[in-house]
This record gives sequence, C-alpha cells and structure tokens, in this order.
Amino acid sequence: MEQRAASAQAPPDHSARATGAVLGIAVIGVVAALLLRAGWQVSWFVLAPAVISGTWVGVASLFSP
Amino acid sequence: MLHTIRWMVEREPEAERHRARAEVLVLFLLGGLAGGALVGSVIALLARMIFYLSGSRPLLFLGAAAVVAAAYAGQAAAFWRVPRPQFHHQVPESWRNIFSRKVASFVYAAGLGTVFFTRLSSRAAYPLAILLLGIGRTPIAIIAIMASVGLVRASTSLVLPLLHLDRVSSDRIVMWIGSKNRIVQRLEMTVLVSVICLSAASILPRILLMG
Repeated sequence: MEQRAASAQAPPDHSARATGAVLGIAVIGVVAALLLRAGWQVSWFVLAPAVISGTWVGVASLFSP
Repeated sequence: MLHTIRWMVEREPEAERHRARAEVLVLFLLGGLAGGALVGSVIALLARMIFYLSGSRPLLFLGAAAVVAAAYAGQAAAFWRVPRPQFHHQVPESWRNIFSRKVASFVYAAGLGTVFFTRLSSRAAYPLAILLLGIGRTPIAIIAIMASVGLVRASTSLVLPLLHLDRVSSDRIVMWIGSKNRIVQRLEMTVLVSVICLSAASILPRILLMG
C-alpha cells in the first residue's frame, strides 16, 4: 500500500524538479544577459565586486528565517 | 520565503498543486526581477544626482565600499560592533491572504526584490549600495545589476522543487536552514574579503602610478 502511494507521488516529484531546473536555466540566462548589459557600460573593477556582493545578497536571503 | 511558497502550494487541492507550484515560481521570479529593477531605478536616481553634483568618482566609492566591507568583515569576525541600518520589517505575510495566489506571488517577490527596503540578510548589501552610488554615469547598468540581484533573490525559491523541500514540514525547512549556518558565515566573510581585495587591486596601482 505504502509502495503504491510512493509510486503515485513519483511523477509529480520529477516534474517539479524539471520545472525547477528549466526555471533555473532561464534565471541564469536572464542574469547573464543583465550583467553583460551592465558590463558593456561599467568597467570590471567596479562590476566585479558589485556582482559578487549582489549575488551573495540574493543568495543569502535563502538562509534567513 | 520558503514557508510562504510552500504554504501557497500546499493549500491547493492535491490535483492542482503541480500547476500551482509552476505558476507561483514563475510569478515569483518575475516579481523579483521587477522589484530589483524598481529599487535599481531609485538607486540610479540618487547616483545620477551624486554624479551631477560631484562628477564621476568611481575610485572614491570603490575605496569607501572597501572600508565598509572591512568594517562589516570585522563585525562578522566578532572583532567589533558596527551598526546595521536597515528596515526591520520583512514583506508582510498578510499579503498572501489578501491577494490571489498569482498576485500574491508576484507582489511578495517584488517586495523581496526591493532588497534595501526589507530586512537585509547579508552585510554585503552595504558595500554593494556604495558601489552602485558611485556609477551614476551609467544608470541603466545600476538598474540591470539590481534587477539581477532581485531575480537571484527570488530564484532561491527554486530550491523548493529541486531539493523537494515543498514536501517537508516547516520544522524541517527551519532545520535545513539552521544546518547551513556555518557555511553561510564563511561565505559571507569570503564575499566581504573579496570586495576588499578587488577594490584594493583596482585602487592601489592607480595610487602608486600617481605617486
């Protein structure tokens, strides 16, 4: 019974992962395009620390309760 | 944030959850992008005013960002205390009850995407703000950088489907967050030190050349 319940839940799990992966790839593409746009105007010595700190500011919010 | 998304998906009937999850995540990402672009526009306006008043001085702001990063790195290492000015409120949780699922997802993430108008989860936000204020000559670049920050902040919601955290209890999510505490502190310090080093690597050769 439990096995049947587990197998019934399996397809949504995979599709959820696939959705996450597709959206993740889209995010990487958009972020890369935005940073290339910024990098076209701003020199690397300002852009590099801004990108590193900005990316971390975004990621760190995941770990704040 | 993870609790909010999980809650919004879990309250849907089982058959609807897959579609609801995809909808919530897509609108969450769009909201983060919009919120980031919005706060980027506000910073760009301030930076543009500074640019008109004092001209382009990226090195000065780079130096200031390095000093602030050093101050907060010292705080992170428990050497001294530095005030952390910020808004103490997070995005109101009531929004998820007031608005429909789609609107709540977008508005909630847009609120989070405004970064500086919410509780700051990282000290690296302060040197970032200073760096951006120093590039008022290129306001579009400021908006692009902040839009990407907002999008990255919203995209952290993707750990829910990728790590199957949308199927666990709130307590498990809290435990999962707590288990990453040490690595988060190390990464925070690494980022602050990187800002100091990159800024110094840009400023010092110019100072030596002038001397």
